[in-house]
Amino acid sequence: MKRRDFIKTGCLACAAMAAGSSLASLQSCSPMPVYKATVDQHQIIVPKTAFLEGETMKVVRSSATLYDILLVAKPNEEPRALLMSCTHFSNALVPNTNGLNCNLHGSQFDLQGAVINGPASKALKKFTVSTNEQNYLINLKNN
Amino acid sequence: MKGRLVLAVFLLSNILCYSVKAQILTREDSLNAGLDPNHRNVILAGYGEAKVSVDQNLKTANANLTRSVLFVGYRFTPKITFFSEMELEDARVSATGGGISMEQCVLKFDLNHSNYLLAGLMIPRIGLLNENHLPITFNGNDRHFVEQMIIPATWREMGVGYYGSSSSLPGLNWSVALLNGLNASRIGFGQGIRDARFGGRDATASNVALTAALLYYRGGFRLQASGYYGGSAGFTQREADSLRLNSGLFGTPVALTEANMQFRHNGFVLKALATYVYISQAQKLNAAFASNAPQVMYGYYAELGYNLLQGTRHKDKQCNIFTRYERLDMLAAVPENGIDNDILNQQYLITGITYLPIRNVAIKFDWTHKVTGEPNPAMIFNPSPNAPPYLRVNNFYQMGMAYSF
Repeated sequence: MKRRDFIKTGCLACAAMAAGSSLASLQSCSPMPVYKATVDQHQIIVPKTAFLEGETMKVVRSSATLYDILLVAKPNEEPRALLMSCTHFSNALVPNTNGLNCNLHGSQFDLQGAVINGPASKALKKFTVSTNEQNYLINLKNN
Repeated sequence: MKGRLVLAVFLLSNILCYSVKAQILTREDSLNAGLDPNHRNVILAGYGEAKVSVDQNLKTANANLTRSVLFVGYRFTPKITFFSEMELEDARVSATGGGISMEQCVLKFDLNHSNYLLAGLMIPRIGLLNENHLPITFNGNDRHFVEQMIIPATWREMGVGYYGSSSSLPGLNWSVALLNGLNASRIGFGQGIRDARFGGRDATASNVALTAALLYYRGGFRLQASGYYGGSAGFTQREADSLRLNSGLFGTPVALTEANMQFRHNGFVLKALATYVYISQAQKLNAAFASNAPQVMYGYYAELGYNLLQGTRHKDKQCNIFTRYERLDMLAAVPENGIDNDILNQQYLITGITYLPIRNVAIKFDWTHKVTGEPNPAMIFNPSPNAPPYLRVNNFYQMGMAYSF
């Protein structure tokens, strides 16, 4: 195979893969901004107004945890909060619209915190989330 | 004397202090450590793999503890972490084989929640297996041949890397690294650039390499593209001149490009990778070292797997059936002063089962069908009249186990 042919074929394959993935998940293309939350008595407070219309996930950052927390609040589902720390080597996880990935050894988790792909073997740490009229309250105790 | 006493007390107090603060944590504790920004922790972990391989042509079998790796990590502060992997290959080290080496030994400096620096002996993000090489994460007893022979995983060099991820485009990650370069005198026939790696040992840093990667997760997809460009002649000007090689930071360069993808959906896993290596001054390497260095190498593979236990009640178990096709040529183009040899034009078909009774342990069975091109008779010096004929086709039946904790 000639060099030019190889590069051409490779580029076409990559473009096809990228196009395929884009088509497969066009609806899920949106940024995932970070919300810097306040902490009060072992609770991280996230105002419901922090979620823009249509947003179902928020990366929550606070002084109380070493790692960010992914707050998932989908309609008709109980809100849940996942510690974004890989259960393999405690590496910080990178969120996407379908789950969380660890770039250190490739572990993948779904939005329930369950392992999709190892080497991690344990689910992500979850925090209980309660709500009031204005806020989501991530409880750092009693988990 | 008094000074020594003070020094001894100081050292002892430090040791005691550390022994109190440093704790060896279980995985559960490690999780909890994430809650405490001031918590120090040590992580001990490891992985390994062993296999029995039956060679159909030779009608022999071989058993080997392929590798056993000990991982040690330590979090100095919330923003500074140490990672190391020490690997023992083939169970013991002797004059005939085996090896002990550091696979990585790096300090990680977190700049913020989505950007960090790595410094030390690091594994750049090139290919699928280089970063993610734990044996429970890939099918088959052997690492993918393309990622052994064309991309020389596990490829680690001394350097500094910048890693980041985007919050505005979820799933997008990038990395850029500056590494020491390769060793031109070890680039050659049948080895490609594998033996030209320094692996952290007395590397020449007067020649350097740049590598960069983009990694994107979207839906069930994992897409990655990376490139490497580095000099291989870390000689003095005088040595380089006498060898008629170009020295300097990027002198006598090696370029590698690679793209790969994974797609997971409902128990199906599709993996594919393609890579291309170009050594523009291979002719000069051959003139200097008579190494029959390739000018071009390439390889690609595709694998389809399915977890038979998908959707059953056995959520913590997996039974993956898979088939992978690999094609590589380590001498796809030779310079004018090189000798072509089709024996390095190889194809592999691997199919088998990987059973994980728990996520940390894998039992592997595979059948590997290998086809090579014809050897160039011009490269067989002083052939023995009793030599058996070269067999282009061979089959290997392998059984093995792997673990990671």
